[in-house]
Amino acid sequence: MVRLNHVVKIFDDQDNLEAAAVNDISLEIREGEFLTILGPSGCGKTTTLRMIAGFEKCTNGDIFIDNENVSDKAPYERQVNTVFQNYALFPHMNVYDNIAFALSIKKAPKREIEEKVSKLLKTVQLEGMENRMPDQLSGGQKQRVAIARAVINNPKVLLLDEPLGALDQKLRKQMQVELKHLQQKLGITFVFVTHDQEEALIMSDRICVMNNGSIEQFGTPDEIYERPKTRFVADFIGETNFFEGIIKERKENYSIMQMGSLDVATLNGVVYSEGTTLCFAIRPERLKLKASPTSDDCYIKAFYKERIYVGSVIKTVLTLNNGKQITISEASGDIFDINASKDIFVTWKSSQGVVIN
Amino acid sequence: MDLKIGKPPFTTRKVHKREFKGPFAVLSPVIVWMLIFFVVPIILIIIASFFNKGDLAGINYSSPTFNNYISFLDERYLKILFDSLAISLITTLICLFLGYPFAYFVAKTPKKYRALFLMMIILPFWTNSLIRTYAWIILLRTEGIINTYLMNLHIIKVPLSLLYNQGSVLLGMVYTMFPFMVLPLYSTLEKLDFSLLEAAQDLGAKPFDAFMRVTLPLTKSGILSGSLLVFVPTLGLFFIPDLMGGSKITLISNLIKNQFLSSRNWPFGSAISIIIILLMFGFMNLFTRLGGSKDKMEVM
Amino acid sequence: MKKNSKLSTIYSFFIYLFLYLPILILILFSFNSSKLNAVWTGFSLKWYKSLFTDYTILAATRNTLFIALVSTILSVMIGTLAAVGMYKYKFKGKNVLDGVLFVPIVIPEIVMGIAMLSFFSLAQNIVHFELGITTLIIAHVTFSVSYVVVVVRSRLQGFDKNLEEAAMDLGATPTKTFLRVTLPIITPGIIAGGLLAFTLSLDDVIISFFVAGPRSTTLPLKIFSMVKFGVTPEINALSTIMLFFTVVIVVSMELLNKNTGNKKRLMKMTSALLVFLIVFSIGIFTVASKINAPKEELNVFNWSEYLPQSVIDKFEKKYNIKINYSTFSSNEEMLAKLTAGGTDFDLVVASDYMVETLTKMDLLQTIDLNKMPNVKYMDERVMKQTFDPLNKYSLPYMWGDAAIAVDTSKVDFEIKGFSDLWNPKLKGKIVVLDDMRAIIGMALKKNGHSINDTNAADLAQAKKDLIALQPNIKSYDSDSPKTLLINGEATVGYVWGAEISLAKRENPNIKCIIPEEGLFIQQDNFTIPKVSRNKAAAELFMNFIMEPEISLEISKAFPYANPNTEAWKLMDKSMLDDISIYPPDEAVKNGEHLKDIGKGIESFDKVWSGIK
Repeated sequence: MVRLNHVVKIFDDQDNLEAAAVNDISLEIREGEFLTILGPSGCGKTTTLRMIAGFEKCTNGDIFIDNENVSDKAPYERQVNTVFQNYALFPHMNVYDNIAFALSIKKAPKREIEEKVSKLLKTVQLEGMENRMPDQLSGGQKQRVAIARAVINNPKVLLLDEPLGALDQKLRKQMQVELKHLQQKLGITFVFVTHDQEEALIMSDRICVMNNGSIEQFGTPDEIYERPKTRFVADFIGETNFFEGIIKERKENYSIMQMGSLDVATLNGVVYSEGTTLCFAIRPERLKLKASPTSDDCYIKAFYKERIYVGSVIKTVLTLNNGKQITISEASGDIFDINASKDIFVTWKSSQGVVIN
Repeated sequence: MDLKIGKPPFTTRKVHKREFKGPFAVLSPVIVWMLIFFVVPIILIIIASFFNKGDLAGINYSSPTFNNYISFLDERYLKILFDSLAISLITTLICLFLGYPFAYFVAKTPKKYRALFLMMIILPFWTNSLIRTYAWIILLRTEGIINTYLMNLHIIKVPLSLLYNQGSVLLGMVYTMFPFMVLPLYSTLEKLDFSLLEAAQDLGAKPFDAFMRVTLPLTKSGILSGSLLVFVPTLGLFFIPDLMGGSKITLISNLIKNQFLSSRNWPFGSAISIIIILLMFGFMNLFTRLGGSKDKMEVM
Repeated sequence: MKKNSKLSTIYSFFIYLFLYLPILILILFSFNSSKLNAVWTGFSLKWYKSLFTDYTILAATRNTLFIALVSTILSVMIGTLAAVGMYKYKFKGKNVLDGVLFVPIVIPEIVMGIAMLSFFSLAQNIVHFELGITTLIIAHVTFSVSYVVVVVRSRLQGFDKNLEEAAMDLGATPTKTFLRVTLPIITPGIIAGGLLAFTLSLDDVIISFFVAGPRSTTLPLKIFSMVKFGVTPEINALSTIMLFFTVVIVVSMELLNKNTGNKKRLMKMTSALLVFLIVFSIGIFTVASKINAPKEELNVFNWSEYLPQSVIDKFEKKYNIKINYSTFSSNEEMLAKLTAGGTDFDLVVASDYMVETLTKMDLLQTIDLNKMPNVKYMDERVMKQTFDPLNKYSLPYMWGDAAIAVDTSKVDFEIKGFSDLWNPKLKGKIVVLDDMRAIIGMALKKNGHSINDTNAADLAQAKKDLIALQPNIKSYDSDSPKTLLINGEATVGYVWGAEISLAKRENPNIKCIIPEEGLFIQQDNFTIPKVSRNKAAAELFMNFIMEPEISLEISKAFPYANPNTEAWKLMDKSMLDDISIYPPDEAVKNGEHLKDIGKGIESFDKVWSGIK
């Protein structure tokens, strides 16, 4: 549906390629999917979005929409519409005219416009607000006008540039759900840009994680979360604990990993040759605290530091001999009693972590 | 241009830059217009300044010369220049010293009344300067209002000679240019955060110190803009010395005008104008270096 | 925030007083029934009435409004596009354009005025056109554009770039985006810029001074000449009306500054109303001034205070030819305007030596005396002068002299000649002609030389003397020196005899003294410049002037020496006996005429600029 082919963007004031805003990305977006481009500030996600919209021209590479090469086409020639971060509602037009804008440009008949606008107003739950001016609307309402305005033309793709950034927490959560439902209802391909990984996980069919102008990983939320391919992805999405070390001993069905000079991890169910450098990533909720590990556990001895109450979960922070911190997460009703024994072991099953290169 | 693409090891690819269409549709009218009707005329007078006046009139284009500029270095012309600069400078200073407290007052007026007070400053600004000059003439003439009333009240026996001297020219200039000083001053004073003054006083500064060390530096750009807006135009305001100085006072503006309309020495008039322009640029440079900003027109 | 202190409030009150008092008095006295702008004698609207029947003022108002409207529209169009372009795009040379647009704002207007005059003069050589409405519009647009750009640009500062992208995103081409999104949003800025341009044009004096033509005077220029010549309260009335319109404009600007949604309609209505008013006014003034639309026109260039309006009116009525009357105050000024080009004067009055100059410069057409039967009335003494022995190029109009006027009630010693003018008792009391050759000539004569003397030593002495005379001189005035003699600003004058005669009428204490050093006599003549396109009408006019009744009327208004023998028969004996008009024959014989001194004029120039 939307295909980016080796797209590069270098801005005029950048003088070399290693600092390119977007450095050779290729991806394919399926029809009707909700894709999120996720990444920290400056990673190139907004630039990528703007290139799909046509506000920036690719320095190299091509963009295809429905197998048509649109790289040289102006924004008004592409069947792509954008919802801007600050909504960009026309301040001199009321809600009705804002929404109707795209159709009035096409000089659609008045009746058709009326029909479509009222229908959309209903869809976004803004009936009766036709005559309001943008400066009389709340953030959430502006949001919906912006969306209605962008979808009235039945674009093939809807681009959303951090549309929920300006809303307060509660409204934001509400809108996340609404947007998802809207997309399913309309059946339009959504390309959503955000730096909020939680948002991405909630809303997306697939996520494209970007960093420094390149794609780190591209996959379903589950894949991204459970099986991060790079350290960056593991670190950026959710919380991760990293266990790094060198295999000291290899036995038949377990290995001993030396982490620094003082710590030793026993990895049951993991077999690597001696001398291999390993980095293990594992989520806090996959770790369990035990007084003594079982035979199929991977485990390492750790020392209690502090406990943090986060409402539905309790996080416990422990330290290793070398000072490194580990965070585990337990449900409130089911926490380990740190006073129960002298030694504490952080344990996990080998299948629940991921080896990072 | 070659690009190294992707992650190390990079692959190289040729890139053709995609260009934007030019902005010249919107800009061509102004470029063409200013070129023909502004740049060319200015160039004309620059060129004219390097030739001599024709025998009876017009310009003798046969031999370029620096004569006009050299003739200007004569004592009487330099005196005229000096007088003009002096009057302009004094006008500026008077406007500044009278205008600053006034602008301060308006800036501190509660918002309710401020629009009204502002409009009352703006109104003279928009009014035809000739009319305002004329208003003073009827006040100051020997048989004008002031003299008539003073005589009727027997305060004086002989009418005062209030018009046709350097003082009246100065008065006319100050009166005409006053709003030009007040508005930029008001503009910067309005943006002043008065809590800064309170902070200064809280830290022990007496009102005068607070003014000198906080208010004044912060309003520097307004002072410079206002001064520039007064100083420059006064140099060209020939009708004030004409009407209120009785043609006895010749300033640089009258000199230029005479060259074009009486003495028919256009090259010389052009040369004087060029000298004025260069002086102006010099002053502007000085002003910008002293910290004034080009955004003086925010006043508008 | 502390409130304003009492001191501060009082101070500001006085400043406001300073700003407004003159204007309020101006307005007040526009309703004064007395002609003198000094004592209130009663309420009257007569000045407003006479204002509305004065054709020249109506025409000037129409011109001013029309020029302001057109130049505003043009500069707003050009300036808005420019502001948008500069806001959106980066391009090579942007700084240069920025600079060029900035210059008109910072150079003194007079420089722009002369630059445009030079430009138009040069352009004359390529394309024939006149200085007039078009040149005024061009000049006004040129200085307004910069201001419009500045205002619109500052509006654009807060403009949300995303709005344009949103529009394009939704399918609008760049043009459509500009028209439907950008333009509506910056409209308040455009209107503000437009009002600024309108007012600048409306009030412009300096630049218009240089590029206006004989047929196209503007209101400010008209006021300028009115202020110079005399002070009837018509000017007050005119000023009051202009002030009123200014208030209207300023108030609308304030209203426009608040541009929230529901005030938008108010804004649109106000601007529409303003434009309608302006166009309507132009219509009214055009109709009013064109009520007797004559087909033919005659451009006459004459000394100021030399031909009464009544004579002009009579001619226009009789022959249905419109007269565009322009004036000058010295021969040199006339020559400058004539040679500047772009002015097709049909009839120009030139003094004796100036006829010589004009003939030498080949600027004159021949006149056909046969077409003017009234020439038979001309006094023989004024015909066939040395500067035009066959009257091929010139016809005598009036002649006169410059003499000394003395207010005997205020001067307590006898004045016999020029040397008495240097008496320190006359400090600040003398009004003299603003005429280089007359004044320097006077000093030369005082020292026993000829007024046409170009000897360097003699001139140097004259210069010294004149510098010494400066403290005694109250004012240089060639336009209407009698005013100062009448109102007492000056008690002695070296002015034209006719001015003395007029001053005597209002102030009987004034006497005319024929200077013992000798008279300076000037004969003024009609000439037809080569650029004239209506020689027949010019000759018709000259003949008309020579009708005895007309000639008499002229003399009654401006009592110069009239060479029309038939007119003498109709004159009052007291006029013929008035030595300020008709000096004794001896004095005339011994009097000197100015001659064309060729290159010597440059030395005079140098002396003149060293004196004032």
